Amino acid sequence: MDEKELLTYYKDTGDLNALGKLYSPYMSLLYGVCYKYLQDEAQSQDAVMQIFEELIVKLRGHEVANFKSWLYVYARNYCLMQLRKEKKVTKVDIENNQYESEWQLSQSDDKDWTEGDFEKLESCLQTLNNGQEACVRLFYLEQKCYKDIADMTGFDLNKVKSFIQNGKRNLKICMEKK
Amino acid sequence: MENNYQLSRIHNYVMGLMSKDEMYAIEREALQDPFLQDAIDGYKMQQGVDGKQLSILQQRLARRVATQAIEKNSRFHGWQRLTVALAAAVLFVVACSLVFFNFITSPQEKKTEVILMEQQLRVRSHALAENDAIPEVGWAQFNEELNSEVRDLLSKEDLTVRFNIENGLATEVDVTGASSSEVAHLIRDFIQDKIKWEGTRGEVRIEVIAKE
Repeated sequence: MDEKELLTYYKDTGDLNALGKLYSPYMSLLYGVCYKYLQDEAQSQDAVMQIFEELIVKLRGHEVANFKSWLYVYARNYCLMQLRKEKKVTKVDIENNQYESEWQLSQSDDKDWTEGDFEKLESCLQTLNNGQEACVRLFYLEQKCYKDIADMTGFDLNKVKSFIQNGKRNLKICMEKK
Repeated sequence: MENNYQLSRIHNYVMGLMSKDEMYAIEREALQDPFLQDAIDGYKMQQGVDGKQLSILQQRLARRVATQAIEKNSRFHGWQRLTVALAAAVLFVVACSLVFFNFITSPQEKKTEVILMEQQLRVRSHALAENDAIPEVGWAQFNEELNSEVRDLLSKEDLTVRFNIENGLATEVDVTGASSSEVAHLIRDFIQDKIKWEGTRGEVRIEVIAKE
């Protein structure tokens, strides 16, 4: 059974085996996500199990089209709720929160590019700030990895990552406007 | 499988064990996939992937999945119990309503209490020479009460009772001529405990006609 079939099967029968099969491949990713927010091994493990417990109920009533992205959003919200309960202040990058909702949109974006699009791209690239422009060029056009970009520009790795994420988003907005 | 592959990629990436091309590929992928990006961020904070933790998690999941079978069983027993309880409850309600309706409807029927009286007066009493005792209730009532007292007695009796009276009660009661000691007992108890007397000295002959 593929993911979709497992989902429907579980929704109809409530068979935990099916849900386990569906959930198990994502556990390591989920653990990573939970660790990012909770920053504690035991708490992250418990969170992964607790999310499973919640899915037992949720997935019997909800129709879920894309399990992976739904699960990610669910898990992240769960972790953020945990943090709020503990009233622990953690910094969560705003761009990560935006870019997750753009994620779905960007997946159906494989249209053919015309000459005009490349021109648009070039002019839009110039609207980005220096850091974003440099990082986006190096990453997307020259296909350098973050580490190389960091070495070449002198920005630290996290800065490079956020320049690329923000640059990509701004570029997209700019391209859609023109 | 895909899972393990992804996990080892994350591990290699985080630990700096990848070639530049591989690094680029996973970075590119993560830009499209915030799930992967967050996981990478998490493992980077944890400084690598710990396989042990993840296998513990897998075991916990397997255990959790396995509990459903047990839960199912206990739920089954639960249903059984519930059914029995339900049946008992229904019976209880039925029984209660029967009693209740009986109780409600019965006052409409007239309750008839039947007190069986001795039809025939079998007792006769005669005050003898030394007697100055009089029952407080009078001799007629005395005979009637004694009559019902001896209702179980079948034999014919002709006996004499002598007693003293102190504070209205008969003392030193002496019964002679009774056909058996049970009869003597019965008469003595009656004279002593059930009747209040006036006077000082009682000497009474009591005749009981045999029951047919």
